[in-house]
Amino acid sequence: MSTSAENIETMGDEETAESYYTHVEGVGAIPRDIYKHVKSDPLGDLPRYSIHIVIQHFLTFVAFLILAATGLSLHFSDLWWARQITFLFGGTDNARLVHKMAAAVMVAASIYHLLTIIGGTLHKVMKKQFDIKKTQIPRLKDLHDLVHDIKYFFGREQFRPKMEKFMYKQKLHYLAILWGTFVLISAGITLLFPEMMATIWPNPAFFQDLARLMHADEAIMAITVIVFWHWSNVHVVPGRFPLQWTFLTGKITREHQIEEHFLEYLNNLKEIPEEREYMKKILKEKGFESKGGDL
Amino acid sequence: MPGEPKRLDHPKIVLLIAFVFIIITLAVLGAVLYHLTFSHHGPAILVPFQKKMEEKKRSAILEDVKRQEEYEKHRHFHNVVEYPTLPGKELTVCFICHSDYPHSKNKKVRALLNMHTQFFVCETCHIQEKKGYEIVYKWYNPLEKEPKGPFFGTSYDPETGNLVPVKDQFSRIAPYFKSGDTLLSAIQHQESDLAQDYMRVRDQLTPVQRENVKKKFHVSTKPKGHECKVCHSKKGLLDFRKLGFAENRIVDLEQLNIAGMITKYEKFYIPNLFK
Amino acid sequence: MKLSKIFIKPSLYFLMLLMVLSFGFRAEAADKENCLMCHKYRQLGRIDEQGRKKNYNVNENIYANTVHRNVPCRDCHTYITRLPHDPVTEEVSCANECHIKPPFAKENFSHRKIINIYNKSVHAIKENDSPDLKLAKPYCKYCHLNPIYTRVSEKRISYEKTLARCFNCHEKKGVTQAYKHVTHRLAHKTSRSPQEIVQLCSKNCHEDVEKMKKFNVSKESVEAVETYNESIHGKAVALGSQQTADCISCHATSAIHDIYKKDNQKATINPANRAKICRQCHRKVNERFIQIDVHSSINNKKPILFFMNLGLRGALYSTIFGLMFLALIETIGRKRDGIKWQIKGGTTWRGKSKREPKN
Repeated sequence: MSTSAENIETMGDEETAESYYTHVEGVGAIPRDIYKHVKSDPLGDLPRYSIHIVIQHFLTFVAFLILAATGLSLHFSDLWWARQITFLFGGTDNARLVHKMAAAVMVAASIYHLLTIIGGTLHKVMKKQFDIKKTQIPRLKDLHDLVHDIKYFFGREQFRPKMEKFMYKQKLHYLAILWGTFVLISAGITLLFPEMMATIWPNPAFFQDLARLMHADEAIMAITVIVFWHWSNVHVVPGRFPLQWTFLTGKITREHQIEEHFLEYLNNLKEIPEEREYMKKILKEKGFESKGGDL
Repeated sequence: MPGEPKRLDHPKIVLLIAFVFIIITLAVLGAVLYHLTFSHHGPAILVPFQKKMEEKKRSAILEDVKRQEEYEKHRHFHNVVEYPTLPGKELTVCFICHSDYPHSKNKKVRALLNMHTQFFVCETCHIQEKKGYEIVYKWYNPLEKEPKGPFFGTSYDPETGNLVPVKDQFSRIAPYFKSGDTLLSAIQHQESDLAQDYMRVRDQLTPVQRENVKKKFHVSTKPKGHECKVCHSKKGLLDFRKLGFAENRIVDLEQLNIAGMITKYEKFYIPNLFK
Repeated sequence: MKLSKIFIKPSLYFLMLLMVLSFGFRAEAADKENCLMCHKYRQLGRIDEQGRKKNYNVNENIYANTVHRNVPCRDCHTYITRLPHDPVTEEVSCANECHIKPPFAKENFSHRKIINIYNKSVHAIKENDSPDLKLAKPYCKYCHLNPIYTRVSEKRISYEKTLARCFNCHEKKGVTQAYKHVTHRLAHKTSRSPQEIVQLCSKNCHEDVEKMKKFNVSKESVEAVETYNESIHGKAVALGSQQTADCISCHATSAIHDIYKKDNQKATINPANRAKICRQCHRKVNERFIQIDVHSSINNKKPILFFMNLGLRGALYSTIFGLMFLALIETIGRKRDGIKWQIKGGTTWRGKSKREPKN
């Protein structure tokens, strides 16, 4: 046992991001495409989001749908479906009130999120566990990953890039939401309290026009991105169809994590003994046990 | 928890959730397509084509008629109510050529005569008697086999003295030929063979031929309708009681409360209508 | 489509009729001369010499629920001197005095006062107006149908209950009419709904851009309907809101007819008066607030917003199509590597990779 551990350590130095085998102490050499051989629970095997994030997602998710339904029907008020949707919310004046209430929920969820993120980060910094690689902050690697991934999609690469907890798609989406929420909330406040905001903005006429433009435009951008991209990522694309349960369980399936968040999976292997046992068993079953060592 | 997975397949409810999401997605997709193609909010890619198609269908006459009707709504101060109209094929054959304001020649009374079209079909006034047949009059509704009423104009509201508003908007008094126990309707529909045939060949006829056909159409009609007194008198042509009119209404109809009016117009008829 | 045209629209009108009839009280109109004997019939009409359809029907049940129900026909239709009458060639003048003496007044009633206000407004027909413009300007009847009494909100106490209490002391007929007369005017600034007001001002008139351009009105006025419909006021009204500003809310005082051009000192929308008119709804109105453009449109006169709008459009389309493209190639690429759509039996990678192994 001690010799093999030594062996892995020496092999580790030679490993690159492109290596097929990744040696993990106490497990063995894990081939990059092991996700094709593991068994996963559709409801999720490995931790991904804390309960706070799940609650925040749920709040924003419900508020977003209500905001979209009431907001879109107000924006496109002259189209036939606008009246039907407004009717569901008990008439225009009620729908406008509902829009404001849902906005309040959205703002509350956003504040809740910022508090958890800032608190969590501070906690990690103090415990000296803060690692920029695990955050949503974009790095040059993300760009490389994107290029690598596109190559993989076109068959020019054999395997997907080894990515962290948040891959390029999620970082793009997260930053877009940060920006979008900021714009929507500030424009929304300008529209909701025009008298008060007129005293704050340097040029009330311009900023009111800007708010009208930005609120609608950002909202439409958000809705189309959510419906066509976010939903296709979590509902439609192969492996996620018909539903990815992460938003409720906070857990991700094993095959998904190994495929798209390989580096995060390695962290999990380090931290979760049961997962190490499971992986060892799979490697043995599939005959990968000796391969890494023999290289 | 990590380790051996507990379940290997989705719980069944996934289908329901996924269904909801797919429906919303399709709805948004539809909205986006509409936005891109026809909506005036978006780039309206297909609108030029749509306009071209509409341009072909445009009719100057139709537009003018609509404009005039719109204008009339503003000109008419007294809250015009638009009543439901019968589908075209349910109208009698007369309406192929005549409008629902058919009388126009006699300036003094044309509006009064037109007013009566609410109560009976053309044939009630303009029918030619057939030998060997007795004519009886009944309420007739093209959309109902045996109309039961209440019919408009048959009774007054005791509180206001106004005529009682009714649901039945289509029933009118119509003549029937009676032979023994059988009643034969004296009205001809636009669906009748002759009318259908005329509609089909109308465009192929020369103006003279058309006049000929029209003459034939009017063989069984009387150009001059009944005079007022024929009905608006005691024991007149129509048995108001049998037709379901209330007693006080019958009195008004038989006397026509402005007595001078009916005597003044005793001679009215439509002299030039079929010239 | 055709079926709906034949049945649905008429039945809607009919429903409207039934609503009107069941809405108001059953009442009788002042018709001493029995004009309604003939005019109550809906087919009383003709095609006139110009080929226009003319209808002379006055629905008696509706008329009895209008503000004019007590005015004898000939007080307005003064030119009718004998019965049956000859074809009518004259128009009614709303400035006529009628034989109604309002309470607390010495003179007979007339619309003269409001007509005087109208005659000073932008809509008044002026001598040097072109004939086209004269024709296009709204006269009394263009905007006003015989107003039907509307009921005030019955949230607190029902109409009948309130009235029932009045009957304790007052004669039923008189107090009913007086009550309707007052409550009809309590509902809104105008007794018509915002939707009806917007429709009235727009249809065939202010929305007709060609017509407006012909009369040399300002650019803002030409676009007014479009910009209103794009504003939050317009959108909420289009959706049926009853609490939102319509044209009259901002462009007239409670005199309703005093509409002036913006630069006129008397105009409600003149910068000097604007705060007052906004305050009807926006209680915290301030000097800076009234600078906000109500009929706003983003055009090349606002270059920053104009190009921002274009940029945002471009960003929207490129983002959506870019991301959809990414999702598409991702799906195709992974499918070729052997992934199935749905996770079954614990794995989605049940297919065979069609990729050529790279050695």
